[in-house]
Amino acid sequence: MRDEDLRMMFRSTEEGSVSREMFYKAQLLASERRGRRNATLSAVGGAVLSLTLFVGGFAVVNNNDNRVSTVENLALAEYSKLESKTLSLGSLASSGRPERLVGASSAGRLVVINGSTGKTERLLTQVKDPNDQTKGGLLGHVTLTPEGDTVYFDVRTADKCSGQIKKISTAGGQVGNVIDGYAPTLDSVGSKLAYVRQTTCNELSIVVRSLVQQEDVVIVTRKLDVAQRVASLSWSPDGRQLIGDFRSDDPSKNRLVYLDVTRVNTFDSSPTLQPGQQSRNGTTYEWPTFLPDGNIFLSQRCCDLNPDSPRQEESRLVVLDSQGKEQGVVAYGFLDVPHTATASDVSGSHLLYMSGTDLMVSDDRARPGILARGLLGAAWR
Amino acid sequence: MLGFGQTSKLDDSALVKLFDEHAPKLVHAVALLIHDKYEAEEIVQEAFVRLMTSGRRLRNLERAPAFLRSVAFNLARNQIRHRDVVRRKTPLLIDPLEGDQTRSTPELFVLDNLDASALADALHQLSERQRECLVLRYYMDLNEAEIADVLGISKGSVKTHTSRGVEALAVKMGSEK
Repeated sequence: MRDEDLRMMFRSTEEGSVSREMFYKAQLLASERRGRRNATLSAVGGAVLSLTLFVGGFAVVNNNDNRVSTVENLALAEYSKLESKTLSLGSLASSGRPERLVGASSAGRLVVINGSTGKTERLLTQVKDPNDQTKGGLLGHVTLTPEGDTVYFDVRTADKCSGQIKKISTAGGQVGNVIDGYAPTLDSVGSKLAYVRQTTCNELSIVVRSLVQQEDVVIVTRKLDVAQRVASLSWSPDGRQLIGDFRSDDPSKNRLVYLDVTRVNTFDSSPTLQPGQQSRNGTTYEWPTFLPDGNIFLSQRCCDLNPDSPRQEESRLVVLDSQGKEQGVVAYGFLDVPHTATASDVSGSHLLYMSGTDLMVSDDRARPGILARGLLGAAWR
Repeated sequence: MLGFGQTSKLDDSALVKLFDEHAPKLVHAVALLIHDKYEAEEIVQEAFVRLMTSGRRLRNLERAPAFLRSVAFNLARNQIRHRDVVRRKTPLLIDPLEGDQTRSTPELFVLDNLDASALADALHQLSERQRECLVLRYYMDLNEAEIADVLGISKGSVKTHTSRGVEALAVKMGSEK
C-alpha cells in the first residue's frame, strides 16, 4: 500500500460533522469544574488570608478569572439561545413521520433527533459522569407526553437493580426528579405513568401513577428466588391494559404478560398469555409495544429455547393481534444482534426499534433503515 | 501569538476556531481507534474541557492542538482498557438494556455497504499502538516526531509500529503491499 493510498483510504471514512453544541457543553463542564475548584481554593485561601492578617502581613487578591467568565458567559449565552429555540415534537415531516424524536444515547445523553435525517438537533441533558464512565448513565426508556413537550426517562443508580425516573422539557431546562423506579411509560392521553418499582433484585412491582392526583397504585408484585427485571412496559390504546416483558436470571420464568390496570393482578399462579407461543413451539417474544389499533409490535426469536426444533432459527420484528395471530413482518434481523426498545408513533405507521445500538425506523411496515446510531432507546409521538 | 491565559475577546473566538478546525478530525480519529463515534465525541469533549481548565499550564495556543491530541488519545486508550475489564467481568444479571458498544452491527454492512466499515474493522484487529500510529500518520498527517510526542514513545518505535501496522492492515484488508 502506498502512503497516498492509505491517506485517501483514511479520509474516505470521514462522516458527518461535529455539532458546535459539543463545544458549549465542554465550556459548561469546564465552568462547573473550575467553580468547584475555586470554591475549594477560596475556602483554603480564606483561612490563609486570616492567618496572614493575624500575623500582621498583607495579602494580594488576584482575580485573574475575567477571561474565563467572558468565555463562559459567551458559551452560556449561545447555549441558552439554542435552548430557547422551539423544537416542536408534535409536528409531522413531509414524509408523514414525526418531525422529531427523543433518544437516550449509550453515552448517557438525552437528545432530540430529527425524525427524517437522524441528526441530533439538541442535547437535553447528560447524566453520565464524564470522569467516570462506570457510573451513571441512562437506562434507555424514554416516553413523551402527547403534546411532546415533556420527556420522562430513567437513569442508573448505584443500586444495580433499580433506577430513578426523571423528566425534562423537550425545549431544554432543568431535569426534575419524578420517583425511584424505571421503565416509565405514559398512556396515550398522558394522564397515567406506569413504571417499575424494584424493592430488591428479586422483587418488583408494576405501579401506575395518576399524574393528576399524584397517587400510586400497585398493579402487580412479583417475587422470585432469582434476580428479575422488566425490560419494557407498554399501554394499550384504551389505557386499560399494560403489556410487560418480565425477565429473570432463570429464562423459564420470563413472561410476556397483559396486566389489567383496573384491578390488582397476579400472574405467576395463573396462565399467562404469550402471544403465539401455543402455535410456535420454542419461540420467544420480547419488547412488545401496543399499536393504536390494539395489535402488538414485538421482537420474535425462533427456537433458541428449543435446539431440537425442526424450524430454522430466525429473528424477526413482527406485528401480532391480541390472539397471537401474525399480522405482518416488519423486518428480518440478525440472530446475533439484540432487537430491543420497540416503539411506535401515534398513528402506528412509523415504527422504531433498536438493532444493537442502531435505531431503525420502518415507515408503513416497509423495510427498515438506520435512522441514528449509538442509542439505547427512543420515542416519538 | 496570544497566550492561552491572556484576557482578550480574541481568546473566545480563538477557542471556537480551535474547536471548528480540530474537533471534527479529532472525533473521527478517536472513533477509528475505539470504533464508536459517540464515545469519541465524549472523549474529545473531555479533551476540550481539560484544555479549558488547564489554566496557566498551557500558555501558548499553538500548543493546544498537540495538547488535545495527547489527552484524547490517552482517554481513548483508557476507554479501550476499561472495555476489556468490563468484558472480562461480565455481570451476573444480564441486563437486556446494556448494548455492546464494541459489536459491529451486521445491518450496517448490509444497508450501508461502505468501504469505510471495512477499514474500521481491519483497524480494530491491529494492536493498539499500530492502530494509533496509523491513524496519526495517515489520517492526522503527523510526522514521526509529532506521533512520538503524542504517544510518549520514541521515533524508532513509531517507525516500527507504523510499518508493521501497514503490513497487517494490508493483510486484513486482503490487498498486496
